Amino acid sequence: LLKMQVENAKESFPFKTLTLKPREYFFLIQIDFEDKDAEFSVKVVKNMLDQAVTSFLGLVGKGLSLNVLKADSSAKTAIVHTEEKNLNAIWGAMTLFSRFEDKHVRIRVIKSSSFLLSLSDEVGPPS
Amino acid sequence: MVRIKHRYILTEIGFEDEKERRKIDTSKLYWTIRNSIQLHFGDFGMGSLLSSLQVKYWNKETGICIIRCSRDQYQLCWSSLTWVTNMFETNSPVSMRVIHVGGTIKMCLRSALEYDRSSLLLECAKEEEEED
Repeated sequence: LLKMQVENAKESFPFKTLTLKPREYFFLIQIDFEDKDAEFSVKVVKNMLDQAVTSFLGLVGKGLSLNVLKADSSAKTAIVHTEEKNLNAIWGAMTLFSRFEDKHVRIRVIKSSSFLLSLSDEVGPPS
Repeated sequence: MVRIKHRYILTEIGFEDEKERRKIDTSKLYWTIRNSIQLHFGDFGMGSLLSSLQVKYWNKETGICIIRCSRDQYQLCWSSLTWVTNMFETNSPVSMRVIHVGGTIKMCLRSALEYDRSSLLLECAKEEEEED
């Protein structure tokens, strides 16, 4: 009887739903400096984010995966890549970071997405 | 009023030099653990553990101590204890081994008695083997 019930259920529900969660996340961040002529490069942004994560999360935070993919010196924006499980911790560390090389600094997350393409300004509804 | 829940971590502290054990008191232990949390977990660890972190019991003779921490972050505290390598102020090499984690001090003390009993039995067995 149980086998017949299972077979009937398979016949009535032929479709199955699979949920795939993303493993990686990308941030588009904007960095506001106190000194407007401050140097801005991938190396500087990586150094800043390492300090932010270390002060907020300690040595354990230093071991979290964090990559700076691109830094735009004209708009003072950068694209950061991290894993989905570290998302909240790294976002919080960036938001709470306020001093870099004895000067005030502010990191704002403008966009976050599991797809790199959605961070681009050109993506939008079709005209 | 919601009850604040804690965890009590029974720890054995091993010293390289046995004389150093008698110089240690609860405040030095507290600062050692606190510095370890600050180093390994930063501001996040300090904020989540500092309000409930306390050294409840320390025995200089046996090297057993009971540390209180919050229930939600007891694993943070446990790993900070494991990563302790030097004592505060004296910088003497030290290692901390967690024996039992309990919800009450009573269960921790019971576990400490069982641990002492088993280690005494082991020592007696070793002495008998050496005599033989």
